[in-house]
Amino acid sequence: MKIKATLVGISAVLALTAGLAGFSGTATADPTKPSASPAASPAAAPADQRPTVKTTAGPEPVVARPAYTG
Amino acid sequence: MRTNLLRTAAAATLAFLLAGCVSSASSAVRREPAAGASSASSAVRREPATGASSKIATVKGSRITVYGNKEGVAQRTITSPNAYGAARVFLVERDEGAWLQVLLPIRPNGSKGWIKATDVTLAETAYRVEIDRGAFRFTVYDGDRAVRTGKVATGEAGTPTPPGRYFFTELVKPVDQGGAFGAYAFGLSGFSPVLKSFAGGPGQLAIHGTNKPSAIGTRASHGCVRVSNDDITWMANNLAIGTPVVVKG
Repeated sequence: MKIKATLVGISAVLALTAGLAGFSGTATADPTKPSASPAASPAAAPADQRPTVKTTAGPEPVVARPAYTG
Repeated sequence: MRTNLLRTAAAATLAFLLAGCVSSASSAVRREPAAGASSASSAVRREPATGASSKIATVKGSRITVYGNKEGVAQRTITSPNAYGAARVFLVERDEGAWLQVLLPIRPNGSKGWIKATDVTLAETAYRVEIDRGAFRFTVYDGDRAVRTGKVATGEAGTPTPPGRYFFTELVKPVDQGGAFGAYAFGLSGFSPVLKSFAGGPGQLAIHGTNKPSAIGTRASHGCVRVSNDDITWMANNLAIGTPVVVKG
């Protein structure tokens, strides 16, 4: 009977240790997040991220009497 | 009773163990997307602009201040629309975010200035036109691919077509469709080095059609580049105001 109680006690301690180790994994993973987010900051490269329109067709012509060098 | 206690203790132990494992696994999964998003975003930011495309800046308001440098020293004010009634555009030579260095449609040819990016809207084109004076030939490129080529007439010896880098400033459909300018004329940002004024204008260069197709392939103009009416019509249908034009040879 004592042996059984001892075994249960040991397994409970082991389980508690394993469980705590698992939970503590979350805590160590979280601090890595902030270091990742500054790299995604959009203010770093405004020229690359500014939207531009792709021109596809010709423009509407102006009807006029040209004064070029001909 | 003791058996029940033992069973309960064993079940609680198992549940706690499982909880620990799941928590550990979920923390690993959560980390992956964060790392993935970060690297994808960095990849977008670092992606270089394609060397084959050009940026065209169109003025938003009725005038724009051009600066001599990025410290904000005003150089001149340019109005929009231009003398032909077309929206004022510039070819962007350098994009530094808040500031753009642009090629200006003024004398001397090749003049540059800085404008504020907030004063313009930006568009992009992969097209460019190259004029080879020696070969009397034009070629339109879409990126690195030649999509149209044909013969041209250039300036006579006394009124040459000056080499340089320009851009289209406006597209004009001449009132007189049978006249010397042919079906269409694209004004250029450059000017004749000889003629300070011509036919009531400031000596501005252009690429245009013709009513004398036999002169194409020769030095025949006062500085403009003449192409066939078929070629200028194709350009009018496909090329944007602001498209870069390089005259060489």
